[in-house]
Amino acid sequence: MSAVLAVPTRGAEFARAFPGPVLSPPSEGASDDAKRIRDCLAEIKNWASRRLGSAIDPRVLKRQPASTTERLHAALASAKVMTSEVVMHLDREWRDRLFAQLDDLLAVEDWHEDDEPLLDESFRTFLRLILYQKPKRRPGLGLSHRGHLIAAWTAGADRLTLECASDDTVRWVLSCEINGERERAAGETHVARLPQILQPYRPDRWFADADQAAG
Amino acid sequence: MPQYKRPPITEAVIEIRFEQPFPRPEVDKLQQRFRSEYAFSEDFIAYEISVNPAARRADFEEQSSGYKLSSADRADVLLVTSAHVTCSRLAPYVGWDRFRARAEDHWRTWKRVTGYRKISRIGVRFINRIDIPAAGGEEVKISDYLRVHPEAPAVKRMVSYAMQMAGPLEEDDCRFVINSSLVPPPLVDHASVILDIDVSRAGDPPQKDDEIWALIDRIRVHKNHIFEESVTDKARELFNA
Repeated sequence: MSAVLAVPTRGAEFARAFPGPVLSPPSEGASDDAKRIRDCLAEIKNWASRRLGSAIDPRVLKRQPASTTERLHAALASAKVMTSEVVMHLDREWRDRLFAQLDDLLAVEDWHEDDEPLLDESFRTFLRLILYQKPKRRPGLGLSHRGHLIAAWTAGADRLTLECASDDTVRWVLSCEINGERERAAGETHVARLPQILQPYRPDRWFADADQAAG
Repeated sequence: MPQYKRPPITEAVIEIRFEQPFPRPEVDKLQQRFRSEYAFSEDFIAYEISVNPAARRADFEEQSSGYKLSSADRADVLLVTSAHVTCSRLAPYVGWDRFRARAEDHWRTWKRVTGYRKISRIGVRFINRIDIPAAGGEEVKISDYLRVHPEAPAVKRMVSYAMQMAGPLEEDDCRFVINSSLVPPPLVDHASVILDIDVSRAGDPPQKDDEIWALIDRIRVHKNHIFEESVTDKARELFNA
């Protein structure tokens, strides 16, 4: 019988186990064989830690971007490469529209020097959120001064805003009408918990197609 | 090979390596020639660090240097270096015909700029990532999806693995390298496994254009064969879901 994978797929446990593939070092040895195995593990680690979807070798020296323009270009490039890693799970239209939104969001001409460009960890959370929640309607995108991506859905006066932080953490703020009363709520949760958190507020009002939402 | 609705390919690569590295001015000339076809150009240096603990010394050796050219969506990449020409396509994969046509077109341009240079290796590499649903911590049996995986009767549960197999192919004097490992899943409630297949010919590779591209086409067939033999029908269902 073959072994089963017992890997965490969400939560703090997931964040601890990754971001790098983990190889467990054995107890130290003194023989030549032990040395060969150590070298071999180092080689495997070198290969395995390679960033997926990148055409660059792990031992490639990358210059630290210096100017604002360079930092913005680097952030945009990183977001697009990260999207390409999961693009098989996205519609073509979604990807194209997302790229257009990112191009606008990180445009050099509208940039304030003090703001932080989009952080990789935030964008990773956003992608995981979108692929988990699978909203039919695309969100408007914004950026916090800390470099966190903000996704917002509006339906009439009802509004849902999600700020994507690192490690699948999402800060949510909503305002919507329930039984004729306007209700406001906010909190912080994990991407995987978001559907349950939003359930009482009928999230289809934001996530479903416009036609579906109207129906 | 069947056409999958959602191929698991994260990167496709065609690479031609040269016996002698190019001088830097020639690399710069190539970068200038290709620059107009790509939105972005970045410098890079590939290096090797060797550590000698006995001598308390670390050596830094530059292996190749050059440019990484990328399209506006960052999916098409061309590495222009002193040691090799590498044409790469990140997901979404656009199909072999389009990818190969771009690589061949670049190769012809490359040769017009540099003239004939002896080729030392020709390779085709496809990196696949299989995202396996594992909602609610559900256990995943790799053998349900991959026929290439580590197995030991004493092992019931695994949290990580990385493996490599390499060997000769019986046809075309080629060599294969298969890498597989568990990687961080980009999707919530999934486990992700890499299946990385590289097929190359290093011993006496062809030097004439028509023979180079005929070999690359055959290498792709070998690569496809390895892929199809390495995945199960359950994995194919995921690629068509």
